Amino acid sequence: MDEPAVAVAVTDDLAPGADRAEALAEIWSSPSGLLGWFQPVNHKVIGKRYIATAFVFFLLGGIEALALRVQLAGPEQGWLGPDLYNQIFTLHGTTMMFLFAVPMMEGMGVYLVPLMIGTRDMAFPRLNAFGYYVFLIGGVCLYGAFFFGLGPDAGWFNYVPLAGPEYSPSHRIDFWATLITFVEVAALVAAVELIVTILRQRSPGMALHRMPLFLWAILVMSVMIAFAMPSVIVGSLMLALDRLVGTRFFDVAAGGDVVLWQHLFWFFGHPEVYIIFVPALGMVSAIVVNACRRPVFGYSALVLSLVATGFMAFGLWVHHMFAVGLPAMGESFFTAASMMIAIPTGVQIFCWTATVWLGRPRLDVPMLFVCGFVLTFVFGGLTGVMIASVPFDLQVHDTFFIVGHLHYVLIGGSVLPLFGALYYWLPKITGRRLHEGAGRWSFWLVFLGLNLTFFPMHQLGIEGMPRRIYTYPPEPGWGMLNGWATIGAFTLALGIAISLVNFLWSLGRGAAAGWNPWQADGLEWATASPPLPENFREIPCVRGRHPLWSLEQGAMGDEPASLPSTGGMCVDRREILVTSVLEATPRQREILPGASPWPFFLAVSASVAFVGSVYTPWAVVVGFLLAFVALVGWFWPEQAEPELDFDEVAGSPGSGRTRGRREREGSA
Amino acid sequence: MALRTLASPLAAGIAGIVLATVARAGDSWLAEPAGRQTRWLAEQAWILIGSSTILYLSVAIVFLIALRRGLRRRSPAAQPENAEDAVGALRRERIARRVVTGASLLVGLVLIALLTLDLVTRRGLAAITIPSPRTLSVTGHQFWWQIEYPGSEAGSEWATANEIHIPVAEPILVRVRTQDVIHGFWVPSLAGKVDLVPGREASLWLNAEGVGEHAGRCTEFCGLQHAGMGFRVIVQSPEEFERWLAAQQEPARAPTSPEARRGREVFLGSTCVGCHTIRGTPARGRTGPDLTHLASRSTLGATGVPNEPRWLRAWIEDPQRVKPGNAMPASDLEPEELDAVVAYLSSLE
Repeated sequence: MDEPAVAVAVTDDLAPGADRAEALAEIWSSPSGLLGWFQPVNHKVIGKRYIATAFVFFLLGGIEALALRVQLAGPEQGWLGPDLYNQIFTLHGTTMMFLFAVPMMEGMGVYLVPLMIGTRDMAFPRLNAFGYYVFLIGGVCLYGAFFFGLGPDAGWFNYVPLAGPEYSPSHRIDFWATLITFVEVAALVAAVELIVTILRQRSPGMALHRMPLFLWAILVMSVMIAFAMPSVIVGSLMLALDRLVGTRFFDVAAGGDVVLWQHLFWFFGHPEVYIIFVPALGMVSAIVVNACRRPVFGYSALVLSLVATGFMAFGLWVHHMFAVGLPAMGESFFTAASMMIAIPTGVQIFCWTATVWLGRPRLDVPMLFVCGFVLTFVFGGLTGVMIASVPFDLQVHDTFFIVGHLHYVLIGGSVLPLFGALYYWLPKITGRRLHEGAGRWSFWLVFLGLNLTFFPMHQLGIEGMPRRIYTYPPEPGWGMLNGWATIGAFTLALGIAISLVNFLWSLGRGAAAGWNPWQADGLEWATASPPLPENFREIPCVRGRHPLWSLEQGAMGDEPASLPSTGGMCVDRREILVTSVLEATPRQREILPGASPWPFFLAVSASVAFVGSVYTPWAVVVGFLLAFVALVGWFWPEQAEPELDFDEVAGSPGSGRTRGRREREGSA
Repeated sequence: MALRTLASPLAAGIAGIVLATVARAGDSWLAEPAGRQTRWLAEQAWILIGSSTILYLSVAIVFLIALRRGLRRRSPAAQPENAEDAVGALRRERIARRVVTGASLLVGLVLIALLTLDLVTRRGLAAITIPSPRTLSVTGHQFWWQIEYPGSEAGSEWATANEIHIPVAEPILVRVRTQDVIHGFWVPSLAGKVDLVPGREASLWLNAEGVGEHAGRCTEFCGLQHAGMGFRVIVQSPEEFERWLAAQQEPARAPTSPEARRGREVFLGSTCVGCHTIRGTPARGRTGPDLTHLASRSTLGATGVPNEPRWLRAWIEDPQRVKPGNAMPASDLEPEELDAVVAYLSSLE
């Protein structure tokens, strides 16, 4: 089981290395130029775009948060009126959940997964590109609507009947409902990509039990997305239909049910929290392993915890609905489930603590963020256990206690690990080191700001301050703690700003990172920084969980590591190796499609249908016809397989390896 | 190096925030529960807070100790481990495995204990059942509360708005429903909250243990003026409560001053009657709050502003300036008519 079931060909015995490298780079590189921008399908380009776009939305969501905090800094302030405040808090939640957290985590997955499993691209590269454009167009349209005074204003949860046609007659909620349906399609697309890529494209020898924990986390996240997103897509589509064509799904007077919306929304909404949190756990594992210079303690326990979290996350949604007054027996089930999910999370925290205890941790910036994660996330997790209890929840539900709790969980549990991960992997992505001192400053400001902002909110909630209010009277004395929270929010923002400057600074001024700046263990570090267009000259073979650490001492030199590798891959077409699900034994070679503008056209066609449907149902027909054209272009058969130029394949009959160039370029 | 930087801002910053925040805990239902339910809830909450604090500190301290140990062992720079170290490492792994397993089991046990506590608390809360309790019904509107009490004749009801009076030490059954969107009914110091969901019946108990006033508010986001949707609960001695009840059931008193009489004329001759009821007059509108005893209430606009003549005038003149988003349109009354209406409404005690 330890031996990969393929012949290992360490060197290229057919062609001069340079020539072969050139051929690979040419076939895998993406088109350039203005028109080229609409064509690339490579996972690194798409992944970078996901990360950058999601980061921009993160900054927008952060600016909205600051606006909310300024408004709430003291009692009876009039800076934002109720209308603008309601739009901004709705947009803040929608942005952070739908436009930042999920796309950011998926973007990290899209960029890193193929590198970490040693393949050349994702399973369906054009679908991948399509998903990105859908996300981009959806997000931009939502903000466009806001700047034209049509920002959604019924909360990111859009409870009906408030969000229904009767109480929100303008187009505001129409945009939310159609665009969220639209953006979630992108999330689903990326999830399907990641599942297939992780299960079928791992390097020979990378059996499931040798996968890095980050890959497990991305796999669990993607499977969760595949099950949770359809629920919100169905829900928001029903809402859009209620609003646009007069169906009555949520109209009580016509026999509809408003609680149905809440079930559909939270059946997605609670797993969503874990969809954001689970990949962060993978990032924490990667950073801890690297910083402690040893294998993680309790690999099997960690994997089982991740999977258990993924399952249990689907059994908690009703704890958002305790105030609705559902049957007591059912509520108790959800209380128990909500408490028990703390067990797998606890196991993971204990395993990381043991790893740190047994290892020799290096407290660099990524590890600092992980320490911040442990200290804040555990706090948020424990308040989560408290609000799992129905009686306690009925006192703090819909108050600032919950605002404090959820930000401890989401910022502490997800954003801090994400920043650790950015500090950890950006040198690979950009090829430049980040500034260490600025990273430390950023961490401390974020950490202190986070606690100063959100800790006092628990007390405010207990004092009775409800959520989603644009102002409050002076009498209850909520002013002081709110003032602190506002100061904390600006501290937090300053920390984020320092990291942003650091990221941008590193692009031009950062020292060269080298191929493995952290002396890390994973395959992603076995290629140049930034990675080659083809990721790896040869598909590596894996014999353990830490392929680079098992190399001979001294192999960590200046050149990318030469791992044992697989031969037999074509260099004249985009070819990848498909392996088996469990053991990752090679099964077949698969040809991936090249760059193409059609995914962009399809995304535009679909957005014509979705956005246009706000104004006229005919837009759906037009969009459908456009999409038909785009799909015809997408699937238009490429030219027949070119003749392989066997003359050039000297001396290796039957190896299947050719160097014949295709006549045509890769782009369709 | 880094650990000292880790410890001092941490200790100073976090402890400061925690202490200053916790110092305020006296202001809430946690320290001063005013109702029978909140007494149960506060006891449970203190146990939850206490056990969570212990768990949090244990995990955080063990993690920081682990970090400190590791950082110490790291310097001077890593030496290769010899065979003896390898044996020791194996032993340490074994111990760590036991500790991690034990800690995980312990967490499971604590959670089971907290779950039991949850069930016990729920039983305690459910124990309020009396055969035929006094009931009142609350209807949520965008953005105010209609309060209805049963009248003296069977089946009759009379209404007031935004102020609930209850007698002390008697469990009152509050039936809640909504006229439009989902609202949430919450009196923090007396009991938990319940959502007012269209098409659903819901209720909760109010059981105050002392006389006094309590703030209540809408907790489910209900639109533009969600922030402006408060109410007050006034707990009275049984005698005072009965007096209040008797006074409120009366129809509106006839105006005595000439200006108030003029005000009644204007009121009954304008669009006001389309939405408001004044019992004892032809005004029978059901859209807005019942104004029969408006002057006995202490606030206007669901606790938005004090019920004083100048605020009343500002409200009638242009309610959208006082509370943007409420359902009442600006009036087209002449200033002199406005003064008369204010005088009339101020006389409705």
